[in-house]
Amino acid sequence: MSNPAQATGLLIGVILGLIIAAFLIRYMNRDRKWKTEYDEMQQRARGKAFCYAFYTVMILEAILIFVDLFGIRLPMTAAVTHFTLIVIGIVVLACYCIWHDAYVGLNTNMKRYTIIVVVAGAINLLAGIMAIANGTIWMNGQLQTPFINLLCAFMLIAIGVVMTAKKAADEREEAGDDQ
Amino acid sequence: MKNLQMKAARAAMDLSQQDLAERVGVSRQTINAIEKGDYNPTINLCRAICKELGRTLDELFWETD
Repeated sequence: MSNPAQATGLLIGVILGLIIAAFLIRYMNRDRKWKTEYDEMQQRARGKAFCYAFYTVMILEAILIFVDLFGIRLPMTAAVTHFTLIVIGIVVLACYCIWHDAYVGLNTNMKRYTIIVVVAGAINLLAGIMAIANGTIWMNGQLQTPFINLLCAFMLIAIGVVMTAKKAADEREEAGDDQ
Repeated sequence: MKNLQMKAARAAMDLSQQDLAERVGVSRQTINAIEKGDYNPTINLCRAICKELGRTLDELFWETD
């Protein structure tokens, strides 16, 4: 990204996003706390999840170094490339947590959480589709910053799919236990 | 190894996994994992479960052949 105005806009957007996320977490928690609480089993699982996510991002960043050293030009800007790695890390973290019952906190209101995820996913998907329609997502043979919206939508959809699959797996297992 | 003693003690008090989980401050999934033998709880959680179910540590968490 060589445009300082665009970079500043993105930076402000990210900071605003983080502030909004903090307030959404507070709204999402039943006790209106800023922090989601987890029990001991969940904390242990989350520790492993952070570990896997960390190594995933490390490995991908290492690959990126060699991609750069070999002079391979990726069909996306540097900002999009690094954001993609962050999203992959988050997906690894979330999927591991979901599969080990460590994603939903003790004080999480699932109804509110679902509303937030669906709304955020829809907004990002819509912004991504509009960018495709405007032709701003692909320029100079590279994916541009608006692709980040599609990535966020993909991340939220992936989390929703894994949560649904986990719920189905739990129900199947409980049905098996009852028999 | 499944913790059948804990499951029986909970059932004897007519508590669901969710009820016990709320009383000891953990998730239902954690209680389920302990009963299935998938998770070894810390001594603090063992004590909290024993207090709620009115049993001793030996009764609930000591392996019997």
